[in-house]
Amino acid sequence: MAVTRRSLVQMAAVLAVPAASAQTAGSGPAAAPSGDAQAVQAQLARNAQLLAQVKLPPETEPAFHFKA
Amino acid sequence: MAKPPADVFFATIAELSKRLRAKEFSTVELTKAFCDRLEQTGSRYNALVLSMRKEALRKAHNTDAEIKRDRLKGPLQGIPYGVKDLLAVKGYPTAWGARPFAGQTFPDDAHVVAKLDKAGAILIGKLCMVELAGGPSYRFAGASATGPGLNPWDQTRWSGGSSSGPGSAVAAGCVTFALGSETSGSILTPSAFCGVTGLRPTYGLVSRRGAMALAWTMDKIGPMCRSVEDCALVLHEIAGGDNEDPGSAGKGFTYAPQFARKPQEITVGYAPVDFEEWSDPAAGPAFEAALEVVKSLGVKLKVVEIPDFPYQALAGTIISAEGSSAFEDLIRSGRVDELNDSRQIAGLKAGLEIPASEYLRAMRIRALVQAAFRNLYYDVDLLLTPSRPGPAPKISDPLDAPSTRPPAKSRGLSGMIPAGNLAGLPAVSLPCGFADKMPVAISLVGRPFFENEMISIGRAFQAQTDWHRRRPPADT
Repeated sequence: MAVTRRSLVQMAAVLAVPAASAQTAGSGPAAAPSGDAQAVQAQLARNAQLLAQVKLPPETEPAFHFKA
Repeated sequence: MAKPPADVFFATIAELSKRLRAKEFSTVELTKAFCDRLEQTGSRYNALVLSMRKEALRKAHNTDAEIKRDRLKGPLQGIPYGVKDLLAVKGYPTAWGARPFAGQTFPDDAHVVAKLDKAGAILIGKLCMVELAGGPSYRFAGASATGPGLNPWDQTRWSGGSSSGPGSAVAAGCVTFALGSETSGSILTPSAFCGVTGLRPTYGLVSRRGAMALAWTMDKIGPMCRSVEDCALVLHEIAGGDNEDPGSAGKGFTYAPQFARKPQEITVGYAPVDFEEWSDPAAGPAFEAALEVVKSLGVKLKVVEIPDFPYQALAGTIISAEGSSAFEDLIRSGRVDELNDSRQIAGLKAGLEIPASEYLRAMRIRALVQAAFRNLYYDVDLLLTPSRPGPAPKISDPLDAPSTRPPAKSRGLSGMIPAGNLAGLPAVSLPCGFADKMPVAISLVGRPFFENEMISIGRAFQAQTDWHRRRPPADT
């Protein structure tokens, strides 16, 4: 069966619905009190800034197989 | 046999074990007495989720029969204990301190519960905790389906978290010991605030099978007790490799005080600025007196400084990313909104949005942290620092209130709680005095898998002091 541009768009629309509803199911970030959400976002942004300042040699591998 | 006298509630494991074997009282009598106390007093401190009296008494009957036939197992046989409600116990609800998980059950006991059962210890209750062990962060002590953990030393103050129930239940003499868990401070903090001795094992030393996962690369289970020796006795039983825990290091722990190095052979790293500037003024005298006691043991002291990394940001990023992934179903379902703490709800939702690049960066920096601590431990065997800068805050105080004090002139060893957890280091919190009539504590932080070293110095410290023997005012 030939895959047309129209069928791709239709397929994407079908797939997008559950994905979108999964993201907004129940309550997304907006449902939390805005003060708390803002405080958390600000903290995560500060964390990211601090981590960005650490000089990191490119060969450094993540501690995924973490053994003390 | 007679009803156990009231002093059993504050006896150590070794003391109780000796008295049980001397048949001063039976295991059934001891278990009944502790169940009564846990149900009455434990509930007063929001420490008790669920009494397990019926099952405990059944086991106590069996234990008495074993002792009668001289089938002795070890020092934990017949000793009543409790577990933080993130450890599964077959047939009983395990709610992780969180309303959305009320009534949740598991088909098997957590590995550590099974191990303690085999050692003959008697589980008498499940103990309260901060919801979902506080991940990724929370703003108020009331972040729990069971209400804020109340401190037996002053009920207007917090017991600490996230192992709030284990802290207050041990302090109030409701259990002889308890199991808590730590991702970043959840054993050391309530131990310090409640005046009990708590041990955080090396990452991977104790299996987490059957325990709630918050951050897979940081979660640890450990004992909270009346003394460091009790912690060692419990750790001896619960440590060991487990193929069912992907984080297991495959190593065991043998409590071997007879082979401990002499204090004169041990170098302890510390930072004077921790005791002079980082600590609360009210707690300063207790910390400085504790430092003098450690010096008097004959250890070599060396001034050190913590390697320079943004530890809070690292731990925050990793716990947020892993915690939100672990609880993704809860977040997506919307039931996360049933949690008590709105900051925690917002944090869990936001954690799902952390980019992979940030998590990876944090984990790569973490590898540098581990290497830096390996280097630091070439020069010292242990690090010594206040467990927390001061005593427990008031229940109503926000936990994220900024410090009003001027910054210290150097970093000292401040930040050892997130740093030690990122590097997987073992630590023990030792009560060392009082500030504002509340307990404060120091911590010894060891090299990975060198628990015996910190235990030996901890024992020597507790042989010279009696802070770990003090009882809350209502129970003296």
